[in-house]
Amino acid sequence: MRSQDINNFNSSRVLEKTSNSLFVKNIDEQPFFQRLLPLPWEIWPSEARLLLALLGFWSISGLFILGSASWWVANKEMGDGIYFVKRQLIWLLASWSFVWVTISISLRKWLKVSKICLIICLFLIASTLIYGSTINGSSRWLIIGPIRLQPSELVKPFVILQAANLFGQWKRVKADQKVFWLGLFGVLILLILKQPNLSTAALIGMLLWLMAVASGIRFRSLLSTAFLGITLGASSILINDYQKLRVISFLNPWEDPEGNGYQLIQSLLAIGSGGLFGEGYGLSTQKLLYLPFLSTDFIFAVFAEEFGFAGSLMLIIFFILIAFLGLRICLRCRNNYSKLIASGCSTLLVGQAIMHLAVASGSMPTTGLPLPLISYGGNSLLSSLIISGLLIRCSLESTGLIGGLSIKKKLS
Amino acid sequence: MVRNSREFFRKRKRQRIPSLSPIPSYRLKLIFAILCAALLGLIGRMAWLQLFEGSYLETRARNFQTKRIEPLGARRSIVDRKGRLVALDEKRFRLYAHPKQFKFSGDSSGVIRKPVEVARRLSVPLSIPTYKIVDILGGQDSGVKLAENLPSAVASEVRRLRINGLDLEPYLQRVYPQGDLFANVVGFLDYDRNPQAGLELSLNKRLSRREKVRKLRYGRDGTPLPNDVEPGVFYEDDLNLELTLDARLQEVAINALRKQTKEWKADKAVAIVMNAENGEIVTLASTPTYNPNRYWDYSPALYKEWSVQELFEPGSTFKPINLALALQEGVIQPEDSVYDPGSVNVGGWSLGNWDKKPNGLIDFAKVLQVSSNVGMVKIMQKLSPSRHWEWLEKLGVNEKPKTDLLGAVSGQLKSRELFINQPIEQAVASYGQGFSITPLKLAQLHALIANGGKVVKPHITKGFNLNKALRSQGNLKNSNRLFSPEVTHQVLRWMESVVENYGENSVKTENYRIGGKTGTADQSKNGIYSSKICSFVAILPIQSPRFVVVVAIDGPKKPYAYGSTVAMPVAKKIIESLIVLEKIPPATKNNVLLSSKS
Repeated sequence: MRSQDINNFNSSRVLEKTSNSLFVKNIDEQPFFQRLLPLPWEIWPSEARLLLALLGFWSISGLFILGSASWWVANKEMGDGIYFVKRQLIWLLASWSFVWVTISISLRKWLKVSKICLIICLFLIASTLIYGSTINGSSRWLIIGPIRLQPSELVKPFVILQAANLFGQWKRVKADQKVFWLGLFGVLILLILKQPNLSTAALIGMLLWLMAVASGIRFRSLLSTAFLGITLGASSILINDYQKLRVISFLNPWEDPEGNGYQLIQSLLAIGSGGLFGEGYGLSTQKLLYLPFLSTDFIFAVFAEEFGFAGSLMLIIFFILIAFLGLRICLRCRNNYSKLIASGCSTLLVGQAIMHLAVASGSMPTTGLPLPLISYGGNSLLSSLIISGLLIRCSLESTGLIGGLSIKKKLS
Repeated sequence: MVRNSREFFRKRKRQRIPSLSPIPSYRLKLIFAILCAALLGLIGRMAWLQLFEGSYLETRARNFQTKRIEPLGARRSIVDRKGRLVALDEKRFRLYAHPKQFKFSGDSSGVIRKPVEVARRLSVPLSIPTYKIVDILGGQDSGVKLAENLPSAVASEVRRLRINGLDLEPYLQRVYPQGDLFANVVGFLDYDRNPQAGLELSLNKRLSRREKVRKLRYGRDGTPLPNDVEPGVFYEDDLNLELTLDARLQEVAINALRKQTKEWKADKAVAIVMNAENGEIVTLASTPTYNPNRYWDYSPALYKEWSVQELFEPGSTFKPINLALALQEGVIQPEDSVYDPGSVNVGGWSLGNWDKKPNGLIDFAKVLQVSSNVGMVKIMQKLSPSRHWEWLEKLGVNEKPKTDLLGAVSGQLKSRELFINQPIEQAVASYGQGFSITPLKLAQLHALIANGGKVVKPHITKGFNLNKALRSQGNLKNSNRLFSPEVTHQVLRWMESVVENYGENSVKTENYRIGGKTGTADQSKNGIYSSKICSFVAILPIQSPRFVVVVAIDGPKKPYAYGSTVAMPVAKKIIESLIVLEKIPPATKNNVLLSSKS
């Protein structure tokens, strides 16, 4: 089945439903939350419904995992065992309202604002280098009143949108535009590297490359870009002492178990202690301050210790499910932009999770990266949920009932 | 607005169709495949870590989280009857240095500090000059013992320096704060904490705390976790071994003994103060002794308490005992008297008084007062030798006394045949010669006189306090009465008359009724009587006897050395202190009245 056929099939199926239910009912008879939705719930594609349900499940279980991982530290340092959970919950509610905002705005508008938003974020990231507050050796945060903004997290959705803008019409874009935007992405990555935040920089680099792959650019140029990127990364590692140490300690953590290898060893010990079925929820021992950054960068180690291989397997299968849903949404999308947005969103969500797991399990050099919707951190939560919202919006627009100008006219 | 957007849409559509081809779906599937491959790889990695390496990693994690606390081998403290510490454990530290790992806190990895830098920081808390520390460190890589015997305060100061490569090893040191006062009974622990003498040796098992190896999981902040804790790991008691000895009286006694042995150039001396009612030894001081804190400076011969292990002929101090058993047998009556011609011939041997002078017809009080050997021989000859021998055996002369003092030995008594067949044996036994006992036994025998004829068990430990069950109960319950109270009362009065007849500078104390008897025996070494042993026994207060005081000084090397000149001054000092410390009431008429009223 070609994609065009799928699109036709989709909209005909949706319209069929629509004619039965939507147009018969008066809009005032619907419950208020239905009126708030961009598209009536009945005609949501099954992917979007499932995705929403999965996101809800993900958020709530993420809160529980964070609760278990953080209560000891919270109790010790803040005197309140649910200190982090409370803050995370507030951020979660705020972020979910952003999900609603996101799915209410058409992709077309998103694509329009993405350019200026990306440039604003770029300036914010640049300003972290000057005004940023330094935590754990890197200045990633801008403090505005009670809120700590992390522009390198917030830039992620706009990177996806702008990359879709660029790669979606790659053949049509003029060379100077290509150079400008690619250069801007390069500057972005370099700025994030400068913070230093190796992991986010690598994540964004890989995301851009994978989106380029998805967009259908020739493999030859893709491979050469990849080669260039790897060369740049390798030289960065060789120049930067802190990164070099990370890599060396990643290759053999047991060499310096009290120093550079400490984080990774503690994480491996936690994961290994889990065994097949784990210690049980809340019963991790490694979280008793043995693990560093245990509510952010190493939260998976706590999860794996408490839920064992069975739990880890379930989590990974969950990510495969998300990736598969992302693929389904991609394939259903009606234009190249939304296909690329959907692909980028699912790649970022799952890719970030993959990198987090890989770091915790010692498959990748130790770099701090939050596990989406699970790790503590409002900015990461917000950015992950906006990205999820974009994915849902892609699915909604794949029905052909919203987003396109003709459909909108038909509905009004 | 609507038209504008429609135009825009049409324009876009027109532009897009020729220039843009839809994204090939295989590219999207490729991305999915890449993500899935990575996730499958992670599943493999997790399976490897959690299933194959799981148990190994878990073991390592547990090793990391579990701290094994080896017991330091703590021993119970020993306290005297008033709770003063006699022996206790103090935590000390040994400091080891590993120059290969020298690092200050905050140093980046790979930096190794020079020994000089570390020595400079260490020299203040350790009070060792920097150059000396550097000398000790030498060029060694690790395991250099820098210092020993560091108190906890110094150890925590060293810890506060936060220098990597220093290792503080805690250990316990037995400390004897009373110095040599109790060395003879308490003994000591050597460098390896093995008991070498005294109570430390005899009560070794009960003195050592039975501590278990503590294996416990901790959070990194040191919070202990309740996981897999074995039962009883946290059980601890705080029992002390309580002695019956009194440190102050002990000190008075030992100082008096030291002075006297020095003055009379004696070999050794002992003073025993025993509670006649229950056998509690209030003082057991002997000289020469040693300092258990510096035991290595002394001859090992000093480690044993000689007063319970060495025998001497009790001499005249045994006369009251003989009188008591003669009275008990009924061969003499209290009002009787005996004729002392100055010497008596027994089986071809001529036996005389110490001053070779006759005393004429004297009553038994006078026999004791003048210490008439002849009188005693004549009195005891009224008793058949076999009966006399049986009595001596019954008194336990040749029997090991039941006591908790280490190494107590039995006395020596001639065999029954010899005693019966050789009249001379009974004759010398009448005034306390021809057999030998320990000073401790002498105290026990005089306790018989003091408490109305009951055998007590001399002991120096009350038991482990806080635990009443362990306390030794009154010993008198099961003991049999050897003498009747009338007999001992009579002998006590005679002994009191002995003291009453003493002049100045004797144990005679105003308002106190004290009974006593001196003894001066020639000591035989290899069959030759070569040195003297001077002794004095006192019982007080006579109206209700509580304490027996025995002082024996061995080998005074000056003329005129007798029990009255050598041993009695020591006893006097002890008695004076004893009266104060034990709050013995004076025997004034008022008191008598008061006590009879009540």
